[in-house]
Amino acid sequence: MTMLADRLAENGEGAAAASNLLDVRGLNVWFAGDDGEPRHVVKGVDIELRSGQCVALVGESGSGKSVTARALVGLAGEGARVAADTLQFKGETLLGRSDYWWARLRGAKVGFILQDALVSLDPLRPVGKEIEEALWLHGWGTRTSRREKALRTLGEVGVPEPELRARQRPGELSGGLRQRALIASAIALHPAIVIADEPTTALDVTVQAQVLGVLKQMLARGTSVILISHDFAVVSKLADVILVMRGGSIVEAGPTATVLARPQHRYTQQLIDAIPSEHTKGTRLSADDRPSARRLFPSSRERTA
Amino acid sequence: MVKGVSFALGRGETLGIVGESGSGKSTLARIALSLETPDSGEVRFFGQPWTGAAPAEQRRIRWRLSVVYQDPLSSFDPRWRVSRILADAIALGDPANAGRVRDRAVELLEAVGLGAQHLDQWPLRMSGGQRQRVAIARAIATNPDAIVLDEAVSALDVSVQAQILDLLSDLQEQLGVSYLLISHDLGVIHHMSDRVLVMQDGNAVEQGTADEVFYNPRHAYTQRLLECLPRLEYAKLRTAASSR
Repeated sequence: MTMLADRLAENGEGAAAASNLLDVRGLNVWFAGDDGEPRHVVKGVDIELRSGQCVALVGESGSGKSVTARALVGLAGEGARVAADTLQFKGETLLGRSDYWWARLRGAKVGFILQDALVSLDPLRPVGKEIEEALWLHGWGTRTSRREKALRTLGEVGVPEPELRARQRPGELSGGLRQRALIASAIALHPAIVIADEPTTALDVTVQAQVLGVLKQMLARGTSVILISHDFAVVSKLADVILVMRGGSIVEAGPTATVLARPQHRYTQQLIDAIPSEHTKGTRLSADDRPSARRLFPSSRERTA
Repeated sequence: MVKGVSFALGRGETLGIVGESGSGKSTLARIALSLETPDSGEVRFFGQPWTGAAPAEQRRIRWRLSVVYQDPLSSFDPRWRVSRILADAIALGDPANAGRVRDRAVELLEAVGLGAQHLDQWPLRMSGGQRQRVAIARAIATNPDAIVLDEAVSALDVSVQAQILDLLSDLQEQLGVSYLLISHDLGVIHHMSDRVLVMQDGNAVEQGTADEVFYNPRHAYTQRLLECLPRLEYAKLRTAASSR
């Protein structure tokens, strides 16, 4: 708290900073490269997240969006170096914390949902036990109350017949149920922030709609969400603010409607134009100026049917 | 799994197949590829019986049909370099052509936006987009008449997906190849397809031109599917943005 006080005194922006759940200024992440040279993968990223707000990190693979999100929960990865001017959660710094401290924070105050529940969930453990263990790790409740809580949380995220589902292993559940079980284990302790990394990417459109519904409810209950996605359609349903990342930097930031309707950066426009839909039929989606196949491919219909 | 489904795929046409996981769309593709035999009904290829044809007959025409899956890694032999993957397919299409396999492999790579420098690479070391380009090069190596695209762009992020979809459109225009496009992404289906087949629980519940099915869905399931689709509503967004 002293650090926060110092900073507030310096900047005189007490009110704004205090209302932010998460305050990130000038976040940088380096990885050790193969050649010994550090690779700079996140470059001076700023994020502000308020209660009940959803901030989306958008960009293609390799843009640094996942590493940014992971750095916020101390999971940037093996050999990563994280530095920032400010990196605060509820006014407490997240820099230089021990693994133990992070372990206490994750799950209890910050939940994490990954793209593929089949990978994130223990395949051999019934999903109810998974949630119970998350509670146990944080010293929550008794065996009986943990069990009740697990069932209640499964119900909250729209899993029908929680008693039955809690006894099943991830492999026995459909993709949508599995993803909801994962969400349940991430939010069982009502974390203030949930980081969702491509939470709907692997799902069918109907299941995707269900999962989006669960995330919307979470937001309505005051949980903040950092959404990592390359899907603008999904982002437009959830996010209040969009941060467009490219090559480790934020190239555009603003309210969702503004960024989508009037993108300022060429790259944002390219990402929006790349979305196939009923409006794009017959048009080119990519800004790819690679020579087209038409020119390169010689007449090849020598053999006719 | 799949019940009483009928469809035809015309030359140079793209038929989109939509439906949720378990709706039978991939089974349909496997039957079309003759990797699975239907209990009843038949698949004809250029009017000739295809499923149930003698293995020798199937081998004779199999090269005219190829496939690109979601994850090409699962269909590439991990011990093979790109050159060998392509050589294998080239030989399948035209055994007599073995002498100029390398030239042909380079030609194929260039056609999909890669080049000779990729011949010696391992697919495992390539990016998802590059790998999918190799899979497409392999699929067109035999000059097929039709390609089954089974969630071929589903694992790619939006920019790479856009490049691959553009590439597929270019190749179709150039080669006159037909696509059987299977995807759970309705945007991809609408962008690419001439006609669309909607599958639910193994039944084809609706079939029509892409615009008919998307703008004027007759079946309740299609309507529900379309309602679930998260869309970018530009008009709404523009209003919201200008009121700020």
